[in-house]
Amino acid sequence: MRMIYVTIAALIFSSCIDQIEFESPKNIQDAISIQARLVHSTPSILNVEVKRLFDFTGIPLNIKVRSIELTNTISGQSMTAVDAGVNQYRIIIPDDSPDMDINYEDSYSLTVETLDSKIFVSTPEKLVRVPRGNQLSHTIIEKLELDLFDELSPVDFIQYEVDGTTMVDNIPTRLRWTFEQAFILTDEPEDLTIEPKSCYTFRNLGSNVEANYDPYLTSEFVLSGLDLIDVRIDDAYAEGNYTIAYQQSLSVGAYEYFKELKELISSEGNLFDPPPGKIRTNFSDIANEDSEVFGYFYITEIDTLRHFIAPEEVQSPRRRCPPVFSTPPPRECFVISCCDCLEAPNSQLEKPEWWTN
Amino acid sequence: MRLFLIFCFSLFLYETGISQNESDLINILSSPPLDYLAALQQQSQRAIYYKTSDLETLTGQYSIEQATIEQALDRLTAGSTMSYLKYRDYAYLILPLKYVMDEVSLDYLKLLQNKDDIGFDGMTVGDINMSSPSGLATIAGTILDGQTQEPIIGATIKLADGSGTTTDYDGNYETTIALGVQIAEIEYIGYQSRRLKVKVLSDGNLDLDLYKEAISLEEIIITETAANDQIANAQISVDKLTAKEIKALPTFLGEADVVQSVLIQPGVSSVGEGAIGFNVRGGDVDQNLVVQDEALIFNTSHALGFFSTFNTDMIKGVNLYKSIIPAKYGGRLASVMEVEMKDGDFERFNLKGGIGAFSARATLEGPLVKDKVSFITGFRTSYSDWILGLATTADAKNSSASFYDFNARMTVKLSQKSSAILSYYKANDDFTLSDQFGFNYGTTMGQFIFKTLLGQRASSSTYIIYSDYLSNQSDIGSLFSSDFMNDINYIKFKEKIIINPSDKLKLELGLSSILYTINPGERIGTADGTEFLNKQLDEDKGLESAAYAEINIPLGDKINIAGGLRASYYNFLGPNTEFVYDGNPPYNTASIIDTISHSSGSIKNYSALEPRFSMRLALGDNTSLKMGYSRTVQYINQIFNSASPTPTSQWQLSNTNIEPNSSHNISLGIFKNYDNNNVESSITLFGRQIDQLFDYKNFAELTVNEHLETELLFGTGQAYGLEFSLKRKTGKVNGTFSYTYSRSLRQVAGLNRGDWYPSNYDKPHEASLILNYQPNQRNTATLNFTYAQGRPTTPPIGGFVTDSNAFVPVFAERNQFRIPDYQRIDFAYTLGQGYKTTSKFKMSWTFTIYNILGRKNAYSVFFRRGGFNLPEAYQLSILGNAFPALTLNFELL
Repeated sequence: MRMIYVTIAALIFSSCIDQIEFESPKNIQDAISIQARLVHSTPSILNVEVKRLFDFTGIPLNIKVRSIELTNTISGQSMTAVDAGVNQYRIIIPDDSPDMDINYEDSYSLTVETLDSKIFVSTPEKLVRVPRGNQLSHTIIEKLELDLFDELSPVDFIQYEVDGTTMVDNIPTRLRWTFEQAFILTDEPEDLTIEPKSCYTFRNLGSNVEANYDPYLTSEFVLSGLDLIDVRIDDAYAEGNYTIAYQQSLSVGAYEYFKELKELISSEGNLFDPPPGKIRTNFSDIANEDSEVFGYFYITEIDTLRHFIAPEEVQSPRRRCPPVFSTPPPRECFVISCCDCLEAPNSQLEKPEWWTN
Repeated sequence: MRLFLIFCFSLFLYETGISQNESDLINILSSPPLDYLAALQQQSQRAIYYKTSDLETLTGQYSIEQATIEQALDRLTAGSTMSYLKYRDYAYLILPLKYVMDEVSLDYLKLLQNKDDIGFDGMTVGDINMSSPSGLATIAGTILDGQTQEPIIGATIKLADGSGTTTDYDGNYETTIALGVQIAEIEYIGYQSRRLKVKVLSDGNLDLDLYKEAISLEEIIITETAANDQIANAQISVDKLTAKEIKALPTFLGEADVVQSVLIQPGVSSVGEGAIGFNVRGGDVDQNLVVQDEALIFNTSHALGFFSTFNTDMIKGVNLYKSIIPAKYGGRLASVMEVEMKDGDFERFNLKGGIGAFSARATLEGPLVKDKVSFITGFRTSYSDWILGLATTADAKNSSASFYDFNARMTVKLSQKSSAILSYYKANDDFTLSDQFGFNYGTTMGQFIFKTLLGQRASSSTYIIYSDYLSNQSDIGSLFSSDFMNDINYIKFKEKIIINPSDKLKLELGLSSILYTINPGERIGTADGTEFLNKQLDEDKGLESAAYAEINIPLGDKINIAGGLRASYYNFLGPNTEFVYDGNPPYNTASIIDTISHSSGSIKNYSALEPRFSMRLALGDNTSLKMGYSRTVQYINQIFNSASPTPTSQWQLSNTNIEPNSSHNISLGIFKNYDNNNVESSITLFGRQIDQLFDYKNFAELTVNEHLETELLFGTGQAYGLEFSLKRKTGKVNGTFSYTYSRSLRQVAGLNRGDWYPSNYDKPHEASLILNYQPNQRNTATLNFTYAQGRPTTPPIGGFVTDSNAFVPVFAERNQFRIPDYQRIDFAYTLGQGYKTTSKFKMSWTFTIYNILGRKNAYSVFFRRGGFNLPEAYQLSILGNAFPALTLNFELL
């Protein structure tokens, strides 16, 4: 009888989720996505990624691009992007570049021409100043999660919060944050003749978390402990950890784009989810308005906020190395990053210049 | 099934003193059961009664030597499921063993003895095959003035044994009566008393017309239940359900449920389990008017839609008018669900209740002043938290869900001609899902009804109602934790006058007015630093008034017409703020050119004439053709941008920028009865043209938005289809089969390139089959099969990855795909009340299995990023297992 009611409760309140076969139209492969961001800095950098859409076949669908051109729609200046990897294109614009002025009064547009002579042009975007964030801070919170015995147990999370303002020159600014972590990872080679070493390892945070804020919507222009992201405490906090929040300024259009994106990536088709829609884009095919294109070109400034958490602040979680399980002699490497921390993705031996702790 | 009766002349011999003695010992050579019994009767000179079908379980050859009759019967029934009873000293009854364990009524046996009495010249009620061994039957009906067809309040029905009852304010009565031939006297002051001879075979209806004393007795018309109601009634597209029918259906967790019962009617569907409300002929949930007597109910759902808010012990019945709506109702496009509440018993106290896995209920009724004042009160509550504690998922363990509802009703007979009713209703729900969100919502309603006869040919009903629906949503786990509240309350007045100018003509006139006051939304930030979320919208007020007239008139024997006209007038009232936009819809905030602050008074008004018409043409005794048309207008809508509204989906009045929705509805059907009206069949074609509706922009912001019109897109809609129904009403095996082909389409500028697209409720093929097997009064088994084509959905058809490595799905045009088809089989078995006639305490058990095959029906389809970042399709099933439940129902007389 217990199982009956357990099932009832589980199914009523957590429902059942099953993977299914679902047939989709094939012509979606004709559509492309253009992700483009121009960061105003020293130097300013435009990064563009052009891809075919994913479909359900799993076959990578690359696309050849004839040219990508950034245009200052006020001055008429333009620059052409160069290849920067598979599907990647880049323009680096020095501060004093005679070819392109980057300033707050001007507008910028991106033109992408494919090999089949389709030309996609973005609407002009304006650069918006980014306000400087005061600080990134954290609070340790508890969430209830099921343990191995299917019982609810409290689990510690770190909730990152931001303080600052949205105002720049008395003008409110729409904001977006992306996250990265850098942490120390010390390896413990199985071969005892090799000295352990410490790496600085980077990882992205919140690939399915979109954090943004519109002061016009809330009429609140001061950010005071605004919750941004919750991160479960793991071995990345065992030897010292910096969390880095990239605070970006957004235009109205870019903010609406990321707001829709947030809604799409968080939807799981539950009872009360609104029907999904086609996400907006600021690209269009100048020759064919029915041509499918996705993505957004925006121009931004970034303010970087870093926050260090020492191991003892989070009850010194267990270090990744040596691993809990190891192989018997003759030993082979059980966890590669513990044999050589440089094998961990995005690792380096050099201490980042901003790492002060 | 036919009862085979063997009646032995020895019965009379016995009565004259002849009895079996030692020398009468039985000797029967090897014989099959029927021959064995024939020989046994002959030799024993005793009557032996049995049903031939019962003997089908006995196989083989039987013999006996030098035995008494009991030994001979033991020989026959040993090791089988049969046994026997001795009836006095002259007969034996062979019955299934389970019956023998109970007392079998003398009246039942008498009835069996006299079943072939062909000389009976009175009325017959019920079916002998449905006779209860308890010897009792429940007879219900309505007593009407034969001339005016007005109900007679307070008419008395007296039985020869001194028992009896009286009619309520609707002329209805219900009484328990012994089986067999009964003499009943029906009396009412100023009317001819009537003495009736009635042969009662089982439960049934007996409607009676009484005439004033001046009318000769020969003109009294006594009709058995309106078995031919389907073909005789002019109204098309109406489904009627009694409380008994509702309780007989297999339901989720064993809870008899009004909305679940409505969902099996042709043309009625929902988006799935756990969805709030229901959809009629492709209409939205908010296009259904739900009235409890005359009170509007804005949310019919408990536990987010798994149960409805109606206590089935408190209701008399449910009528569902599908798009062809009588003139007395208005304000919604698609349907009216009319829930009729019961009055308390004026004669005796009665306690009813039920205890199930999820909830319990109790209803108490009785006289406060015998024959003058009655009350009925009912309470239901859930106790689900302990179940949640056993769950194996974090979300479920950390959730809570509970509800209750309470009804109280007092009926006062002020005189022979008038009565007054006071009723109160309170329902509340609490639901919290883990650390994510919670709902709290509830309805409080009070209703006063005064009914009186106006002379001999008219009656008046006056209704005054106040109701408040308050809802609260807590977003607990989001970055911006907040509480969101909204509220709708109304005061309603309605006056209804029914006039019968002649015997066959019925005229109904009415006036109604509803003053709505709506708080469209208030949001309060609940986390530290979220005060900036605090926002409250202006209160909206609207006055919806209507006058209507409806006439029911027969034109000869073959044609009946029910025609009416409803004139509605609506005012959007101040104080309020009006936004003036540049140009026509769709609006956006950038096109606001002026903001006007209005003080009290009318800001905007709309009016409409809404003709209603329904006609029946008899094509022979058992066939009729019906057609109907109605124009419907809706001045209040619920705002929700999901397949199902939430409990906090706000209600929005028509205003300067949001015009009322309106539709034309037509129906044409042919109805045919067979087997002396026991089998009903019908085919109905329907069509709807919605010439004003709205849908939502992609990513619409609907919460606490003072510019709500900027999130709407306006367009038109249409629905059409065919409904087929076949129903066998009584018999050992009875049931209903229905099939619906239905389309529901929309055309909205700004969506799907302006092309027609399916609405969220477009399910072309739907079918249901309900089979009841009732071998006797005590045992009932019901099987329910439901099928529906998958509803439209908007799935992702591809995707891309952003600079932050987020996978962004790209969606198809709205509603261009369908989720997998829906199928479900349910089973219910009811072990009814015992046969002990003297028992004051009766109980029954209902065992149900909902979704007996444990089919995982998809509620929606969504996508996640899987291996190698590829999207993987998933379906969300609300219920994915079989759900057994056992419910105990009891009654204390």
